[in-house]
Amino acid sequence: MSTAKAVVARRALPVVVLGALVLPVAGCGLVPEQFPADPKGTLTRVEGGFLRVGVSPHPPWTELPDGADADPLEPTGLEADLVAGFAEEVGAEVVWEAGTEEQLLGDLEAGKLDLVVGGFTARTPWVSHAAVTRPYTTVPAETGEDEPHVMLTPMGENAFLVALERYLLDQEVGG
Amino acid sequence: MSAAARGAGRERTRFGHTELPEEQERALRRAVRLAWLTIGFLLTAVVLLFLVMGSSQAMKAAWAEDLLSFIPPFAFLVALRLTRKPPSPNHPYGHHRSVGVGHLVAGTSLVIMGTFLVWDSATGLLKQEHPPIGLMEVAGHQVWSGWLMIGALAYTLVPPVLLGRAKMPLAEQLHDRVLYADADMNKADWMTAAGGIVGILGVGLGLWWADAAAALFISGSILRDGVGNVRTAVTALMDARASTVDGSEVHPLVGRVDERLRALPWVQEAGSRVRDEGHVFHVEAFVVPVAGIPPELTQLREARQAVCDLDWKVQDVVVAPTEGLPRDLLPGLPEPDDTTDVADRRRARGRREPLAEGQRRRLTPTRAVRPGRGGDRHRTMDGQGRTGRSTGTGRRWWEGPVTARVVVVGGGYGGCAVAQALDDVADVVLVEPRDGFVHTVGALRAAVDPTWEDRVFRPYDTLLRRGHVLHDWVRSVSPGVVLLSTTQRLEADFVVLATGTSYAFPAKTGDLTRVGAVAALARMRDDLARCDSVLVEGGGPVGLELAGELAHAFEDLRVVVVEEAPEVLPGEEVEPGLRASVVRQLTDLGVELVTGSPLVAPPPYEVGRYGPFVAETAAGVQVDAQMWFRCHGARPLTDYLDDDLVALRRCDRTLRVTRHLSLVGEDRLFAVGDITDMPEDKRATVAQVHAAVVTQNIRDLLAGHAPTAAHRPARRRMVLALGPGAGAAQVEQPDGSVVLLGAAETVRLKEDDVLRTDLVSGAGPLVAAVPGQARRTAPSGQARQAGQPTSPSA
Repeated sequence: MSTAKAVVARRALPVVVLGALVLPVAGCGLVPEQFPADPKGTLTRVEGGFLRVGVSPHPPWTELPDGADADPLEPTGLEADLVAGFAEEVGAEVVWEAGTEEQLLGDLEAGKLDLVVGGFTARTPWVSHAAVTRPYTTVPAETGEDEPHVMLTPMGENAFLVALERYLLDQEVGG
Repeated sequence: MSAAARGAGRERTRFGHTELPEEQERALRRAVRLAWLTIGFLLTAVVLLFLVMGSSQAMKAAWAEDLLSFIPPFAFLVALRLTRKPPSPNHPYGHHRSVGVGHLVAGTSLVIMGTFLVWDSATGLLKQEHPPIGLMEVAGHQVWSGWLMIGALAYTLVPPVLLGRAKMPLAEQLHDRVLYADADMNKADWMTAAGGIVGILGVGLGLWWADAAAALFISGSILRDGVGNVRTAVTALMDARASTVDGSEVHPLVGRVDERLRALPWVQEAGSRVRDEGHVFHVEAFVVPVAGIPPELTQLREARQAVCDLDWKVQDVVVAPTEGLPRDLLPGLPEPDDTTDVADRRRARGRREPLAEGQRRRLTPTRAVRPGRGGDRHRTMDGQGRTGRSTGTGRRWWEGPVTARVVVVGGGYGGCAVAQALDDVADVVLVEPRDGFVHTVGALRAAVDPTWEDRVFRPYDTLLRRGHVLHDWVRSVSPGVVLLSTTQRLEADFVVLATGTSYAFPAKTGDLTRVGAVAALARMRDDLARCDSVLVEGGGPVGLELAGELAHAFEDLRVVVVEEAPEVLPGEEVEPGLRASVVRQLTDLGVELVTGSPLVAPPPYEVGRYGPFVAETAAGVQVDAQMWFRCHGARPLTDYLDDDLVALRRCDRTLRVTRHLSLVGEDRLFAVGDITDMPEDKRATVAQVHAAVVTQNIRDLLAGHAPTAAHRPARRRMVLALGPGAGAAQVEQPDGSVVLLGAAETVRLKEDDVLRTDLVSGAGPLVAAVPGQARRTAPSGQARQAGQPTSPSA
């Protein structure tokens, strides 16, 4: 059986290496303010700062009563209200930016936006470009199927994602 | 529970036609149980991981691996089901390969999936994809999904390891590669889970790359498993030499098959191809019979059975007798070879063989005999065999000369001496039905003294260095051809006849094995102790020596010698003084001599066995006795001579020989010892002198010139030992006069004979065998026993 042991030992090597890499990091963050944490620190930056939100008009979820070129841009609608509420909770000031979904998702991926709203559902095709929140509400669509509604956040900014999700899940929306 | 496990209770489970032993059957039942257990566990693990997977790469890889883990246990169960099918006309080898197929399928799917996952994780890493892991609601609580993933992975951490450890020994017992691969993967499975956990934790700490790195690690291990399994499976399907279940080394059975076959007495060399059919082996074994004699069908069957008895895995066995190991079918035999001639090939191998580990033991025999090579014989007859001039067989000059084949018939003093003397220049086969050399000089002493047994019976195993001893009877001899008891045929360049004389127990024992002969002597000694009176029929030297031994060894025993001639030791060549001395000494010992009339009929019992009787001579003398011995009527054994040679046999059954000791008119057929018609005493020492003459003449013929050694009849000599310490002798002097010797000189001569004639192991061990008694008993004067058993009627 000694050969088998050797095999196990050989196979265990990568784990050991990986562990050796990870553990010091874990040690530094042993008292993490956030767990999960943001690789790019989005949540930390937003708190007490600016929350940059992209918005694509999609009534009744988001509306741009003054058009996309208005300044200051003041979107209304269900999701605009939710965003405002979340910004208040984290002590941030919302900076809106309007655009097409493609523009907004591009900005989100480039790190120029922290959040994109626009009546997205869980079936959104943008799922590989953005982190989709838990559905904060489910309403029947025109087709009669239930449509869970979500917002889009930057990929991998998990502390921000979790904070947003916590806020959204705490709200009694729609119904 | 599967059909396999259920069926096991009723009758022995089979793999094809291979019946599983108890131990393997238990292992199989357990393996089936574990396979189902694994499937059950994997079902729960796959469902659980799927529920919490989210968008983590590491989770995806771990999930894929668990999904793939279904294949080996399923492959195992399916293969098992197929394997159990008996062989059919369409599948004469059975369905064992299903294991290999299952193995290959499992391995291939691992490779494909592993490759895909490696690609997926690597691109994720390169594109710096940040995995989003958000919240989940479990029973109303909001929990970060990462924790759920870690929990699910932790669930898959331990059970596979336990399953793998349980399966590993079963895989070895069943020799099941699929099970082995499964167990091996299971055992390594904890690393998948651990890697996944590390990855998720890393993501939680904000290290976006940890997830992809963990996924890369997991998929890498899948890929490696796949490659390893495919390699082993393909190797097995390509009929690679059978290896252990982990594929790390040659399976020990491979060597044991050859070893077992070589251990058979009729097998000179064996080689085999063993391939792993999956669970069981398929063996094609080639055996080279000793001296090229085709084996009997029963011997082949026994050989096959012997191999089958080695292990349950080897049941599909073919044993093929061949002239030489087929090099092209058995790659890896030492020395690749480009000659086409089989015999040359064999000889070439013989030269190189010492280099080959494991075959060394059989080195000598391989060169011994090349049957059926008439061409060879003629070449040597021309005296050119040793020059290597002949090019007809494709033999190359550097391969050295062809050695001649000499068949010696009979393993007595003369036969052994010839065989031993020619061992280094020729391929010698000694044909002798006994399993050991019988040192007849002294056999009568062994009849009354058990400590002599070791001196009298000697195994043949050290006699020849290169040649062989065949335990068989000779049916017929004609020049160049010796036919053995069955249908076997030996061809020879030279034949030497040394069959000696038949003689009744105990001077020559009737049993062919040492054990039998010793037992017969022991039984006779026991019977002798019960006897009051013993009858010895025949008053020649052998009868008188036996009488002397008996009278000396059993003081109260009445010994009666019956001789039909008017006096004992009949014959003109016996000096009257010797006769008078012997008669006087025997009378002193209390031996009764009844002369002048033969027995009317032989006693109704076997010689040397207890049985009271009353024997009557033609003259009307009645002898009461409980045992008798026949000490006359020994005759040369020459019945086997071919009809064409019958003119060479005299009416006393001796053979007409020239002074070169070849049979008259036959240059290459020699005779030595008692069967020659040389006018001299029949003695072991004489046989040895004959042997020296024949050896020289054969060497001369081999060297390409005429025989040079001629035999002159030995000077007459009669040495009679009458128990230890008594006896008389007459010795012819060079001038023709005859000298009589007393007891003391006789004792010395006897000692001399015993030592000089013990050719099998030399004088040293002989004396050492009976250290305390050597001096006392050996001189005792068995004297003439030596070659003499035959001479009573002389």
